[in-house]
Amino acid sequence: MELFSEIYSCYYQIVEQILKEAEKNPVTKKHINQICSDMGFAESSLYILPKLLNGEWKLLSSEGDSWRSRTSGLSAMPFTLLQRSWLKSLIQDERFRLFFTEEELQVLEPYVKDAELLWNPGDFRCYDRYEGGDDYTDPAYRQHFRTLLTAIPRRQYVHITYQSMKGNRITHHYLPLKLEYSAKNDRFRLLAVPENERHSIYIRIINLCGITETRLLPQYDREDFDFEKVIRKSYYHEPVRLLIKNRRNALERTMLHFANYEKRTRKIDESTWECLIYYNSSMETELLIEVLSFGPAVQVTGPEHFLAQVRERLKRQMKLLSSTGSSRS
Amino acid sequence: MSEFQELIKSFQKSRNYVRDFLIYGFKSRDDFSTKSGRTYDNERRRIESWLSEYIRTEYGLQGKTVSLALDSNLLGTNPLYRVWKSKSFTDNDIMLHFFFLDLLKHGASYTADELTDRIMEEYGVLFETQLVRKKANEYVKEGILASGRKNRRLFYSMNPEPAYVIPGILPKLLKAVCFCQLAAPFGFIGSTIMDSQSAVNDIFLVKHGYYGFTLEDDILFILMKAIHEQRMIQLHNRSNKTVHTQEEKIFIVPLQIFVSTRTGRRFLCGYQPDNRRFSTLRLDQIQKAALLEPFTDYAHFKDRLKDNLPFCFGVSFGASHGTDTIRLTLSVREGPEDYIIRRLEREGRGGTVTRVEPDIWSYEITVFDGNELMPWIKTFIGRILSFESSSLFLRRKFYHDLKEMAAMYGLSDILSEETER
Repeated sequence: MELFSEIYSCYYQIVEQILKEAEKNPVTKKHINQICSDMGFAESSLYILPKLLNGEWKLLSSEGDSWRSRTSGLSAMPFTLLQRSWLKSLIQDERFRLFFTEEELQVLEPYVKDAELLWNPGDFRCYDRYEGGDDYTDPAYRQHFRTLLTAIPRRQYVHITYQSMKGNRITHHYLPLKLEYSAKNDRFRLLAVPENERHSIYIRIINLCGITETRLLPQYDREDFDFEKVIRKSYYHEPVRLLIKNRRNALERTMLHFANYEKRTRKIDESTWECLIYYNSSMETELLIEVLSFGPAVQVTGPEHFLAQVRERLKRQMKLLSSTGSSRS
Repeated sequence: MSEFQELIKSFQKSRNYVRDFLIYGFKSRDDFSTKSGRTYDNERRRIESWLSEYIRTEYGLQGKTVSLALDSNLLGTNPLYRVWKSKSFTDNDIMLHFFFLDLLKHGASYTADELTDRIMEEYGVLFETQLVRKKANEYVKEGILASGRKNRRLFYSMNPEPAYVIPGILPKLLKAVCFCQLAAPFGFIGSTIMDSQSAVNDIFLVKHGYYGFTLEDDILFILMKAIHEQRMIQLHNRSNKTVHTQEEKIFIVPLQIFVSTRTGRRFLCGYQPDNRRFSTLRLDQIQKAALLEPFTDYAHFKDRLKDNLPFCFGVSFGASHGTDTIRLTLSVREGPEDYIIRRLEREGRGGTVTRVEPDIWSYEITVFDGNELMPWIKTFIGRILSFESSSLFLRRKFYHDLKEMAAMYGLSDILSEETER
């Protein structure tokens, strides 16, 4: 059982696609090239095309300017032992079980029975995961999760009632867009737009654990929704600018810590780097406290409104310490 | 000079380059001084090829720098899985792969001799039976083919595809795979299932997606085997702590993998018989791992680890056998700022949260290495009334850091003003 194996390689997938197309109708060089560009790495066609068309891989036969597959109705690959081992390990994970009923899991279990477990849940310790994650075994939670799972790909509107962070009960019709998972919180959140704000750039974030009612509605959304464009639009024009001094291994720590943000880093001098982090208002408080956690190793230099918040917190802190006399400890 | 290839034989060499481009993104050709310039050029070109849509090239004082721009808030899969899909192969490998898929469809079964003959008849390619048998046996090990004896002859057939075996649950399974490839260990394997079933994730996103972790999965694969078989292992560990990176050999008994959900870092926690201590090593610094003999006292040390874990705030077992006690007192406006109390409870990893008096709350914990709490404690800047610790070093460090931060933002004068009042 190999993890790094050609069976899963990008080239095998491209060739499979080409053969499937060429089984139906002869394919042209242009068509083959297009498949390589769509599915491959940047230079894949330079390698694959000569091999296929010059006959080093005897998988196609030429028909004038086109090529036909020598195969006829390739069977689809079964799941490999590695893939079934992965699925078998997942069956122990409550998040995976969310997708199925117990009866459905009983169908899956025999299919992966002969595979080895790749891991057991106890093999991992997420030491900084917050307490109070979602209860994936709660029947109501499971029901809401599955309703949303049905609605999102169909772009179907859903009647949702939930308890907001401030404790208010909110009922609305929403177009659900994505389910976002946070490993840190071990929680799912729904990203959605209210029906009457369909063209707004403000996406609502609803904790799944706060949802008390979901009901599929008969309406479907027919317009294009460019999720990435909307999220990018919500980003502040100016990124947070950080100066990182390489002490206490801060450079590596910050680079790893902020690896989940889109960022740019450049060296200023032998011991200082500047890092730009792109973010939006929903990430702002979290980013702010993350930056503070690095103490004097990281200095915020902009933008002004972000810097003002850092200064304000620090100012409040210094006043608190002065008034209690703790700073002289 | 050999011809440039997008595909690679070994994962290990490219791993460190991809990681440097992703995590740092500011290194120029000269910063990769451990290898020749040509090696750097080839690796860079390969990574540009694999991940072209995420590559950003900039020119600055250091010259050309290449970085990977990944925003986990927007991606339905981890682009670095592509690195796993770059394994090189021979002409025979790929031809036999598709010949098997074609010949063994609809429940057909053949011996190695018959397969060799059929390949010649159908595709005009002459292989030695030995080679066909070897490849067929490899595919049996991978679970693609099944083999069975009939009249003392060994027949090969294709294992059934999931659409035949589990048709009723396949659509749900693929949705679960779309999620788990982002959130579960070895997510790359999930992405290969998506590839084979042409599934696309348009439902799930991850909020804190640290994509670099996939690059350590080959090491994790061996560590998991060692944990399940209770074996000792030998590691080659590369530490970045010094200016010149050092590689050392370590013998360790792997017990558990520690994962940070806040940074994506993963650590091997194990027992080192040489110095009779538990220790943790970052997976991204482990260059090689080899399984050794089973470790006889495995269960004993696993139990001892369990006893120690309540005192590990993070991954450190401390430099000595002592512990540090930390007490933090915070000003919290009850009602509008109750979320701070919830933060202490949710993020405090077993520390005691107490209401001292209205609007004043304390948090107390005893751990092996109090230094590990310091970044978290600084996230409460703006409301800390006092920081107390049994460690003089930590007390000094905390107040020193605050003063330095105040100076950095031009706020030093507040201290003196407040003191004068």
